Amino acid sequence: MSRSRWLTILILAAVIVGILAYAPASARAFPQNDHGCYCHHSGIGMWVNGTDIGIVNLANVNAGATFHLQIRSVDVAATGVVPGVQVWLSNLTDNSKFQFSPTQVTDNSAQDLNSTTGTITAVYAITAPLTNGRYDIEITAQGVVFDISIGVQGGTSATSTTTTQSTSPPATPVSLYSLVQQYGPYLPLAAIVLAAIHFVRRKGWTGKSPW
Amino acid sequence: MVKTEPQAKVVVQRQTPAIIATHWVHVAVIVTFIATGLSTYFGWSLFVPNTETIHIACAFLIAFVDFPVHFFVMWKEKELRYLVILKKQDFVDVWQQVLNFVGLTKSYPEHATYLPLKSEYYLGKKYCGFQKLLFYSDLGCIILFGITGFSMYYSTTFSFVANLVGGAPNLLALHLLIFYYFTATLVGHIYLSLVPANWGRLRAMVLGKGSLEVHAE
Repeated sequence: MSRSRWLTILILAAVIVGILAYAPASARAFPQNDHGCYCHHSGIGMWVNGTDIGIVNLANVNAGATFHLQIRSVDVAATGVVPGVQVWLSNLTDNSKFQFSPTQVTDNSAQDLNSTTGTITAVYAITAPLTNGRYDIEITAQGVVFDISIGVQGGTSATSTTTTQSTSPPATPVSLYSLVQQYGPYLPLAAIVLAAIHFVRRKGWTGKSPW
Repeated sequence: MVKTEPQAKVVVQRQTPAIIATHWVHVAVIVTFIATGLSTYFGWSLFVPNTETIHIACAFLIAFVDFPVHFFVMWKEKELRYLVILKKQDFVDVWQQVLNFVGLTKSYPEHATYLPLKSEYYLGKKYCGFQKLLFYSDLGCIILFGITGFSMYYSTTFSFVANLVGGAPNLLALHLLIFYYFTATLVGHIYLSLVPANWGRLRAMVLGKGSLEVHAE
């Protein structure tokens, strides 16, 4: 077999191994690993300056389970609260049903994982309530209100006082955003792989015209 | 057509100074645009605290200066006729190019070869079918890029756009998807520009003149 074919096979093998290695890594924040947090790469953040980017749907969390959510807010213009803080306000109906740890993170504090002033990156341990249902929890991060819709399953029914387990699995919406976030990088990766294969097949920089 | 003997070459004025200037100004703006976009998305400290301001300034520059001037210059320099008119043969060529690129055929549609006696490109193919298709898909994507980007930044004014796509997170998803599309095409663009067979064309995008192969009858 020629050297170029061996190189092609090697590159393809490296790509396949890379993809296989990437897939489990990207699933770290998925239910099987952390009780239902669908925040791919833990990357739910607010990057729209001074605006609420809307509700993000997380898939189902087991009742009573604790999962981790990383939230990053960057240089957001304050519109009513302390600008340098992310806070889960406890006086909101659904927020009061969850437990958050910590309940707030201040810019450049020990719990802020980002040392840049104006950027707050924090990981929250969130414990879901024991009652099934869909909840809209809300964090106020540097003046922006950020809604997260979470389904809770496997606990008690909201309309019953018995301890019967829910048997019908709730819907698990996968947002377009999480799909793009997960699979989008494969587009440039595919371009790089194609270029590499082309480079090898053409035996490098031969300069030969194709016609 | 597949040939093994070296092809005759001729140096031609392939690009005008106006085209070259608009191309490289576009490159500079796009690089800044991408850098500030990535910086915002990943929370890098690049350009902080003016990251978003620079990003939006670049967006305005691209939408209202770079693109109009670019198109005007391409129209004025009669460059558009090489890109805008799509023929049935272009689609056949694209398919052939894809097959050739992945190594399934040796046949490759000839383009960017020159007829010195007539001082024109063989079959008017200054650009290949793939470049023509990219022209349209890039144009569509940059418009969508602008719509989604401005709708996120001016979310109150353009809230109807968010509603149209099913919510604000979908706007961000589309914006991100187009970003990945452009990253992929940019990789291809840079790689193919550096292929030795295309060096004459790359040189022409810097100096105006570059050596092209002469069409062999």
